[in-house]
Amino acid sequence: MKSLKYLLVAILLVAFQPSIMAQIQDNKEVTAKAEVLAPILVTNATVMDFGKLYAFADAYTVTLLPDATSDKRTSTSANVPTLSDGTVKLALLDVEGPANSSFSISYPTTSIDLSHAEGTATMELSAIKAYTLNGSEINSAVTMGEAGQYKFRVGATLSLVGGQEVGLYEGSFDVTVTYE
Amino acid sequence: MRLKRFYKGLLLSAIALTLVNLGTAQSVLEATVTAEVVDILNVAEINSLNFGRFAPEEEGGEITITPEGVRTSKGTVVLSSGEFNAATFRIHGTPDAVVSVLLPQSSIPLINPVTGKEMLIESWTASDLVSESKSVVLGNGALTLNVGATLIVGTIGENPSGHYSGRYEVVFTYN
Repeated sequence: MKSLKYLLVAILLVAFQPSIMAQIQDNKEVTAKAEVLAPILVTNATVMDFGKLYAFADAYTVTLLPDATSDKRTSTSANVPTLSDGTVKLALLDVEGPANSSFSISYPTTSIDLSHAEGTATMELSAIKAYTLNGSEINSAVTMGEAGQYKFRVGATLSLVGGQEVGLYEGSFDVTVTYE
Repeated sequence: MRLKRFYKGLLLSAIALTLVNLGTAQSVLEATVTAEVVDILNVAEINSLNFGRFAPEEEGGEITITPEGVRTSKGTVVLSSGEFNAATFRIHGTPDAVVSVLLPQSSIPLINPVTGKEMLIESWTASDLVSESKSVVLGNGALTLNVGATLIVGTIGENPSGHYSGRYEVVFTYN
């Protein structure tokens, strides 16, 4: 009788083996995906140049702004330099990447110094801002063009102290573009 | 246990894949900024333009003073002795800067305050100007510029005796 019971259990075990096996193992075919993006790259087409600025007895600031036809300077000084200086321009940057991809632009939010080429004098650069080619300020992520290119401009404000030392000044800061 | 190890492996692979992609998802450019601070352009008038003393006589004419200070006349104008000179300006600014010089583009009147009669100055000229650009180069940061012109003189009736004076503008601009 006992052996019959065991036989029944064995038969049952054999009969239900597939379902038992199904409960401790389940094979499924799943899809793995990955998208490799082309690298995003930013290059500098034009350096930011404030041009020639007067050394006044009083401190003043000069801001580089985009204009419809050409870049311009505004100033806290009534004697805004009226030099017919063709070098005045915002920085122009080129970005390359996948067409229609979204990316952000970031730059320093604190001031940096421009240093005198031959001395120790400095000038403070602040309020760095990015602009579209038509002069609108960029405050959020932008979209790459259909050709996989995007151009934008960068301006800022330069502060001169009273009696700023005469000469050439230069400085630099990082501009970062990041996929969104 | 095997299953746990399997899922752990999957998770690590996913993280590795993500880290690889971040390396090409960002680009940093070092942007350069330049500026040049220059001395204020400062110009002082050292000598006023002075045509000196003369007599128009019957028909008048003209008197010319060159930037070099040479005085000549035409018509019936008779030049008298006494002081005369070209205008002299002393320019101070940034060494080697190029400064454009804009002389008056129209006639400037000299007026006798007593009679109200006037004579006109025209044909302004300046020394050391680069002819095409009408500019000068400051060299060591200073330059002397002389300016001459021509005075149109009427008859004695149109321009009776007396002192005549006027003001004109010369514009100096950094290029």
